[in-house]
Amino acid sequence: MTFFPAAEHARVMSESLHLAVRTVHVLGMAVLLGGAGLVWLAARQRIASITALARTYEWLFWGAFGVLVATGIGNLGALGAPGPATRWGQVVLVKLSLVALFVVASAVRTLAVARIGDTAPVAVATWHERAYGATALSLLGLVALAEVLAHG
Amino acid sequence: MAENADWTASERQQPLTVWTLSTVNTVGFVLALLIPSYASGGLSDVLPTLGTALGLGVFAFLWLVVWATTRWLLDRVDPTTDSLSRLVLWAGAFGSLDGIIFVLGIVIALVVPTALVTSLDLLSVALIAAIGVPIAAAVGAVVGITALSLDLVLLRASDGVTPRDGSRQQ
Repeated sequence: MTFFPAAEHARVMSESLHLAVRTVHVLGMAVLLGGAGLVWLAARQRIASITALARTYEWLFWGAFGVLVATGIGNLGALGAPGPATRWGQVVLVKLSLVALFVVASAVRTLAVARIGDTAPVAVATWHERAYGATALSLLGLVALAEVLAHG
Repeated sequence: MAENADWTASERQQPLTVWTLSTVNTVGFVLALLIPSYASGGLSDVLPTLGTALGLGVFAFLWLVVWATTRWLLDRVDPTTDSLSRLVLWAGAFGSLDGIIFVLGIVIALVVPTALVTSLDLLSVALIAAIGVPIAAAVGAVVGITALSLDLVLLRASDGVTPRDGSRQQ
């Protein structure tokens, strides 16, 4: 039988929690990006229930987005983030500023989706195609910045 | 709908609108604190000392409180027809309520258990709450009015991009 000292036990617990937070952060982004891509593809295919699909995505989007922000701050604390004067710090600031802009643009998109009727004419499908295409591209940009941060 | 571009009461109160605005306000509040704090260099030393689980719990609690108050607020005001003074009054009142519930929740969840296992007496806890509540109410009022301003901009902007018929798409 192996006994861990209390300090070692606390370190293992802390590392497990940080790993879980990072995993949830990545899964949150997978929901956002995968969902946006799916709705964009469905809009291109002109499926009849595109607005219902988009609404379901919007519910998931904001839930996952809140989790992403919370776990993102958790990651920042766990990593012991370098100061803002470093290159890493500058990239974090750019990423946070882009996230703030993305929140505003996404809110406008969701509030518009909340008002569209269930009957979807071709114009609505075109609108969804543009909106979710732009969302997916923006998310890809944020993922690219996250990659830069992850690899120093 | 095509003739009347304003948000109707049922649209404002629909769960997706409430869910969206409350999450935007919560995330916006956190980012508004985080970005300047990090840019000034004050956060690098503080963040690692805060517990991850505690931070996630506080965020979840804030999110829940903002969702509830956003829902109550949109039941009582109409951003498209109410006067600016009425909107500011209600937003300030609900922002204060937000701040008070948040501080009392933190006191009950964190300070009271600490007082029960340490030498911190309950009178000190009451004193912390008595000082914290008015400050939280004042800060909450300012945050509430700022959040309402952002929400109004978002509602108006979404109104401009919502597809209603073929002619609106061009």
